[in-house]
Order: sequence, then C-alpha cells, then structure tokens
Amino acid sequence: MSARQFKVVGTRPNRPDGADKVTGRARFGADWNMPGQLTGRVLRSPHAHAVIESIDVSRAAALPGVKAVVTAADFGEQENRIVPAGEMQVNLRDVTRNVMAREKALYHGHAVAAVAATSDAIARDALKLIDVRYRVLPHVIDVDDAMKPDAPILHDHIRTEGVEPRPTVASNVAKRIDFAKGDVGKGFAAAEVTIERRFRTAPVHQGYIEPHACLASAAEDGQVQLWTTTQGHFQVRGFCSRLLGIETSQIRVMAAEIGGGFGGKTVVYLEPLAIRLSQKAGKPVKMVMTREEVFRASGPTSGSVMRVKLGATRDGRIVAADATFAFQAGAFPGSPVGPASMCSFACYDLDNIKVEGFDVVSNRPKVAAYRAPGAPISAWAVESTIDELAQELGIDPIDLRLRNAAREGTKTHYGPVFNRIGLVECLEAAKASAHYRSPLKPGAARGVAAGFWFNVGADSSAAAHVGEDGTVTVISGNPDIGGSRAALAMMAAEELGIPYDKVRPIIADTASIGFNFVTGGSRVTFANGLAIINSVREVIGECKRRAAKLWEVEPDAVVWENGEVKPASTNVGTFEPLSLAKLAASAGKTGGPINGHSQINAQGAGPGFGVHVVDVEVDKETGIVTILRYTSVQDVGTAIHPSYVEGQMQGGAAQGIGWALNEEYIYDRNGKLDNAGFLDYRMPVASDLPMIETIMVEVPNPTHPYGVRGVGEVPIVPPMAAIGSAIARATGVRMRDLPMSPPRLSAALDAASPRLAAE
Amino acid sequence: MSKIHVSAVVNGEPIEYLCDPAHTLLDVLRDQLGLTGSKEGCGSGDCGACSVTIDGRLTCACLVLGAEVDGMSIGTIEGLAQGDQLHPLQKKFVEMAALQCGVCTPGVLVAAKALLDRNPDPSETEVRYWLAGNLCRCTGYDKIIRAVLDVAADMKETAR
Amino acid sequence: MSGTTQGVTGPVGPVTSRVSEARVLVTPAIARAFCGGMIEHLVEGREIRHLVRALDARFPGIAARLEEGCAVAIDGVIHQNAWFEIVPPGGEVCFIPAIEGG
Ligand code: FES
Ligand code: FES
Repeated sequence: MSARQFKVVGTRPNRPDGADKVTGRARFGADWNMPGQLTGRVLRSPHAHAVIESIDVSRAAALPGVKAVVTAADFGEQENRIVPAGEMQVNLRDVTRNVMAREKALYHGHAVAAVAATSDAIARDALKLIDVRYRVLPHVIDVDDAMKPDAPILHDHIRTEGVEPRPTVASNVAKRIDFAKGDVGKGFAAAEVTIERRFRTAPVHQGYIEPHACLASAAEDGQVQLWTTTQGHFQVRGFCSRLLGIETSQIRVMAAEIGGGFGGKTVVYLEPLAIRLSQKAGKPVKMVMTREEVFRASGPTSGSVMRVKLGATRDGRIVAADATFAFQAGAFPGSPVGPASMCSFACYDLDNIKVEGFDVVSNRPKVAAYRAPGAPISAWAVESTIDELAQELGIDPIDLRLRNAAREGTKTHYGPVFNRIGLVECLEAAKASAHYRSPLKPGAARGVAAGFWFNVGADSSAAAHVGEDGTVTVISGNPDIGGSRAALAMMAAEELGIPYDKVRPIIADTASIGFNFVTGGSRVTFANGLAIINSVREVIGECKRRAAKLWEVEPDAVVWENGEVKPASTNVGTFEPLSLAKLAASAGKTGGPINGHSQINAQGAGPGFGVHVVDVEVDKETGIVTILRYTSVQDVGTAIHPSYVEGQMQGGAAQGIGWALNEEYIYDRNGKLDNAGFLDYRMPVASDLPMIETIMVEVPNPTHPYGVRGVGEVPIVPPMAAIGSAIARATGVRMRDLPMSPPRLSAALDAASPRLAAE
Repeated sequence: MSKIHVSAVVNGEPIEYLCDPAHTLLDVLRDQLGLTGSKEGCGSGDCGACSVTIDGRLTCACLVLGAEVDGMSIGTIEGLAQGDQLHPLQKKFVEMAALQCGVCTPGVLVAAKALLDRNPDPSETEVRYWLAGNLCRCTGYDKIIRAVLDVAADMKETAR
Repeated sequence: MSGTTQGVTGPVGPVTSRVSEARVLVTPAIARAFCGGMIEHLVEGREIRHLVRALDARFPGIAARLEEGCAVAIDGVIHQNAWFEIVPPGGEVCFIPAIEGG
C-alpha cells in the first residue's frame, strides 16, 4: 500500500458522544425506564454444587406486589449441540442452564429463580420466600483438582473431546486440543540450553464499572423491546430468540451506552429473564445486577495451570518449544484455551513447536471473553520463560526476541503464514525508546514482554444517508465502548472529502440496520470501518451518476474530489463542481434521496503485536511492587484517532497491571467467592499507576483501504510477564503464579532469602 | 414505613421530595429526581461513580441516605455546565479523550472539580491520590490525570 | 504428508473457471478424527466451499466440522465463514478454530 495522505484520519477531533458523556446525559444500561415498570431480582444458589430437588415459588408469588416469578421451568429445554446464535457458536443447552440453573446449581451465585415486583424492596422480600430444596454435592474449584480422576463430576454427559478413542467415562476435561509444527524431539536434542517451568494464573474479572442492566417490555401482541448494556445487541437478539422461542423480527434490541465490557458483555445473563418476566407480568421489567452479582455470576476469565519448555542454542536461537495449558472454563465448557494455545508462540518464528491445551469445567461461574481471550494467560507463561532464557544466556531480552521474532512469511504453529506484520518494528522501537535507553533508578529493575492477538473482522452492516443540506449520517450497529463512533465518522469524512463535523455517526438498533457481529476481537474500527467506507463509496458513486446525468456526460467522465463532483478533464466540458450540498438539494429531482449501504463479512483483519517495557521497584519487606515507568509499544496499523488508540494501549496496560499484581478470585472451603466487591477485589486506582507512555508503530494492514488493524486486545497481553520479569530482575526471585500480590511476593521473598543469602 | 419529607437544594434549585427511609441519596437522585448522570457501580462506596458534593464536600451518594440531606445543598454532574457552557473540565475531558466508555466520567468530573475548588494547583501525585476513590477500568487514568492537570494549568494562566 | 490428489467431484461453476490445487491444512484434532491423522492434503477447488466438498468426499463428515466453528486462513489472511472465497492457484488454505475475542 502506498503511503496515503490523509486529511481527517490521524487527527484528534472531539468525539460525537462527548458532550452527552461529560454532562450525565448519556443513557447507560440502568438509565432506561418505562412507565409502570417492575423491578426484577434473581435468587442465586448459596452452594457451589448442588442438586436442585425442588423449587416452591408459591409463597413468593402470593406476596402483594409480586407480579411474576420464573424458574428453569419457564425456559424450554435446548439441544446439546453447538448452534449459531447471533453468529456465535454456542451450546444452547449450556447457555440456558447458565442463565437459569435446571437440575443442578453449578456455582455459588448461579441463578435459580427470578421475580418481578412493583418495588425493589418487595422483589428482594419475595426472593426470601422462594423455597429451594438443595442436595449439596462435593465441589471442585481449581483446574488441577478438577482434572483428577476422582474429582466431583459436574456434567455426567461430558466425554473428553479431542482424544482418540473417545473416552467412555464422564470427565471435567471437556476438550483436548493440540497444535504442532516440526519435530520438538529433534529440536530439543539440538538444544544447548533447556528450561522447563510451571505457571498458574487466578481467574480475574473484566471489571467494567457498569453492572449488567436491562429493561424489557413484552407486549400482548408478542412484540418485545429490550434496552440493554451489551457489546452486541444482535447477539442478545439471537440468544433471546433461541432461548425464548421468539422470532428475531419480534425482538427489537436497543443498545444502551455501555459502561465497559472488555468481552464480558458478549453473552446474556439478565435479558432472557427480564423478557420472560415481562411476558408473564404484562408489564415492563427492569433488572440491574449488584456489584456482588457481577462478581459471582458474570464474566471472569479462566484461571490456569501451565507448563512451558524451551530449548535454545547458546547464541540465542530457540530450537524447540513445548507447552501445556489447562484452563478453567467455569461451570460449562468453553474456556479460551484455543486462542491461548494459538497465541502462545505466535510471536516467534520457530521450527519446532508443540502445544497441548485442556478445557476444564469446575464449580465457578462460566468464563466469558476478556480482552484477547486466553492470550494474556499463555503469554504470562511463555514470555516469562523467554525472559528466563534471556537471563540464562546473558542476552538482552529484546535482542533474544529479535533473534527469534515472527515476521512476514513466518509459518505459525497453528497453521497460517503471516503476511505483513509489525513485531520486529515494535521490538526495534522499544529498544530505541527513551525509556529502554534510560538508566535505572538504584534498586529498580526493568522487564520486557511481547504479545500477539489475531484481530477479527466478521459480519458488519452500515449505511450512509445524505441529508437535504448535504450533511451525512452514518449508521452502524456496534455499541461504541471506547470512541469507535469518532473513528467511523472520521473514515466517512475522509472518504467523502468533507469535514468531520459534517458527519454524524449513530448506532442503530437491531431493527434499523442489518446484522452486526459483537463489538469484540478488536473488530469495529476495522470491519465496521470497511462497511462504512463501502457505503460512503456508494454515495459517491450515486453523486457521480447524478452529476453526469445533469451535465449529460458519461458517468466515467466525472470524478469525486474533496466532497465535490467535477468533470474529469477540460475535454468533458466546463461545469461548476457540484458539492454534496448542491446535489442533496436537488436530489428529489434527480432520482430521490442519496443513500449508500453496505453489508459485508470483513476478511483479513491484520494481526496485532505489542511490546511492553516496565520499570519496577519492590519493597522487600511488604512485597509491594511500585510501577515506576511503563511504556507500551504497538503496531496499530493506521491510527484513525490516535488519542483513542493510545487510550486502548493505556487501558489494556492498566488492566494487565491489576492482573499481575492484585486481582484474583478467592474462594473459601465451601466454594463460595470470598471477595465479591471492589474493596477486596482490588483493581488499579489512579494512585497505583504512573503515566503510561505509548509508542504507536504504524505498519498498515494491507487488506484494509486505510491500513487499519484492531488495537484493543493486544495491550493486555504483555503486561503480566513484563512485570514478573522486572520483579525477577529486581529481587532474584521469579514468580510463576499470578497475582504477584504483596502477601504472595513477600512470602516468596522470605522463602528465597536463605538461599539468596547463601549464594 | 412512612416516607420522610426532605427539602434540599440540588444543583442550585430548591427541591422537595418524599423519601423511603431505606433509599440512598443515589436512589433518590436517579429514580425520583430523574438525575441519572450519577452512576451506581458498586453501591458500597468503592468506585466513586456516584460522586456528588453535599454542601461542597465530595461524597459517595450511595453511602448517604436520601433522608439525611434535608436542608443541604447537593451538586451533581448535571449541575457542572453553566447554561450552554461546559465546565472547563468537561471540555478538556472531551478534547483530551479522558473518557472511553464514559461511565466513570460523571463521578470523576465531580471529584476533579471538588479537588480544583480546594486546590487549584495540584501536583500529579495529589491528583492521583484525590481521584483514587474513582475507579476507571478503561483509560488507565493517564489521560484523566493529564486533563485535570491541564485545566489547573489553564486556570492559573487565566488567573494571572 | 498426503502427496496424492484424489478424485474431485469435477469442476464446479462456470466453465471459464480454473480449477486449481491447494495445500489444505487441518488442525491435528480434526486430522485425528477424520483423516487418519493426516494434517496436510492436496485438494482441487476454485472456492473454499469446493475444497470443503472435496475433502468431505474423501473424509465423510469433515465438512460439518470445517464449516462450523472454523476460520480459514488463505495464504495467511484469516477469513471467517468464507464459502465463496477464491483459492489462489497453489495457495495454502489452513482451517483453524474460529476466533471471537473480547
Ligand atoms: S456506587 Fe457509590 S461508590 Fe460505587
Ligand atoms: S471510561 Fe470506562 S470506566 Fe472510565
């Protein structure tokens, strides 16, 4: 792609939803209300694993003010089969059971029943009147326990997939996957240095500040309206349609402004319950989770147990890599161990790789996607081991990575060959950065790690409508989590050659624009951007046809330049250029409104790579780690709105810092989550962090007209290993379990101190 | 239980309401007065999304009962802009992309204004500690801190 | 490695089309379940769906698996649900697990 001169792309205009969001006008999930609405509340299992022997709702239903009660009996059984719902591949048998427990409660916090009442207080009282008889079963929380042959079994029908011959006994291991390239046996035989390490990570929550919330209104004629906070209102429609047996055209989903998602709002929890309650009560039903419910029943990503083995020559060429990743999926199969296994060694051009992954169920909430699902977990193990190898070989960690880095033409262990990618550029930029070249403060140490995410494209619909005055509305169907509206409007303005403020982007509901896949996988600016560009190109084509007609010349005798149609050359004749405004003013006379639309399955999302550099200081008494300086380097393709790209890089790094240093789910002996609140589940606050420096490397994606690559996921992949490596270099103690929280780190330092003293 | 009569001033306007004794000020603002700009992120005083001022003091509205503010003056995000003029903090937040999803933003802005009202020239560390009660999961705080410092610098410039 | 090209159900689509042979790779799990462990296959077909059809003739049942829950990388560029995507002559087509993301 030739370097294109942009006018709008690359600038930093104000976002279109900015004023609404700084004044409190913007309406998020819990900000929608309807006259006569009821409040819905969910009864949740107090047990980690229990058979539900009976549920008696009669006392609750009889409470004055209670208008509807639902249990699993109100939701039809679903087939045990993977089916598409809103384009996601899901097992509806599991989804319906996660939304409402059927024969068993599978985690503490699992929904068991729900009520709708005229007030929140009555709804809460009603929950206490629901009589559930449980038969408590032994439970299992951690991955390795769940994999033991005598572990309590969650699902009697699960036989480990991916093992031949298919086992005949039930297991908590839902799936085994593997990827291989070359011959690791041969590779390790040629290695001069071999290291093998084991790692663990704790489950962490996406931590969006806005709890799940929705408002459902089911009318007597069968039509349903739903306002909800989601990353994909089309997926919500798909899920609800399938779970409730309602045709998609009868459900209209309006995406509220969304207060963060990070993958955790790509599935349904409350929506099917709210719709069913509304149908039964004949009134709109609003449901909002408490923060405690968010922790207990939504989201987190997997905890894991991992092993990584690397073989290298003394000069730093990695000749073999072998890894095992066992991921906790929560109560139902479907951890991100697949992408984790694929991402694991994607940063490296190695001849011999073997990766094995296990998807393991246990009595925790079903995991949901979390930013680059799985990749940060395997990167923690792989990048930490690479750093140890660098220490062992006495090679600079960036140099070691450069020596083995994936580049254009590298064949990955999961199959594809990379086209144009920017890892080497990122490593070089990191190495040349002021941060990396700066001297370390005494007592501090520096860590480095790299990260990869595929980025995705997928189904997108968009439209561009030209108003009577020549200004333009661009319509898309993906909730805007972090400024994507601005980026989409900018691309439309760029393509049209008109100022940014002449374009207004809106996000339409499921009835007002064609299907769009979720906001996730870093796809919106790439895929929706492509659809927007295409729809704007249709507008341009139409304008050219109209002008050609007016001028009575051939359509190819006119060109579009800077928002106007002009004759292609003086040979065509001399005509005053026709601006969008002029064409719009006479649109009725020249053939009707001027609109464009596009529907695509966007292909070729360019892979993304990043490199993070961090300086830390460790208080050896308390185990408290201070982040002194942090730099995030990333290949961002083309930064449409650089401020929001930087924002993604900074936000991802901060989430990674939390994952590294503090965040974890803590369970008690009974399988009850002990820290279901922000006080005890400690996410980074402003005083925990320094400024996060960003270096945007731009290696345009050759498959996008502007070179866009997704940027949202990569930033959370490297931080944990970068910080762990800095801690190892600061203290001489390498942490292999996350989080490296003060109590854990100080215990590890204490345990190591006699050894370190002896050395 | 009978409701409690409360007279207060909200964003400069005298206001009266009848309040369920169990309802928090946040419930009253959001559900009774229609001021949904203040958000509920936790309901336990840990996230700051519900930040308001009560007689000028920065407070989590989720930790105060609606019945407690009789005779007091409440400031919420809805009162930050003056007429059609955004407050300099609001303007700067948009210009500097100090918000992504924006759900923390009302609380952060109310808290930042409370800081600048009492300390017009804070250091980076002071801003970070003052805003430590306002969780933001999207931004990593970088652009928020810069925006607040920038507004403080602008204010100093105009004061000169 | 599968070096032999087995019978394909004949050219599909307009006669002007050029039928080409692609190197098709499947995941080890799919290879074990359907292809006797063989990962790499030479297959003729103009579009991805033709490759899938041809593979299914060879390994009955594999089509459903390749069409649901798989993405496909065509010479390194990842596509999701790419029935009509053209296979470049001599190209490499890799079926990998579908990717969603957060
Ligand atoms: S809602 Fe008040 S502090 Fe979180
Ligand atoms: S911008 Fe989303 S939480 Fe702060």
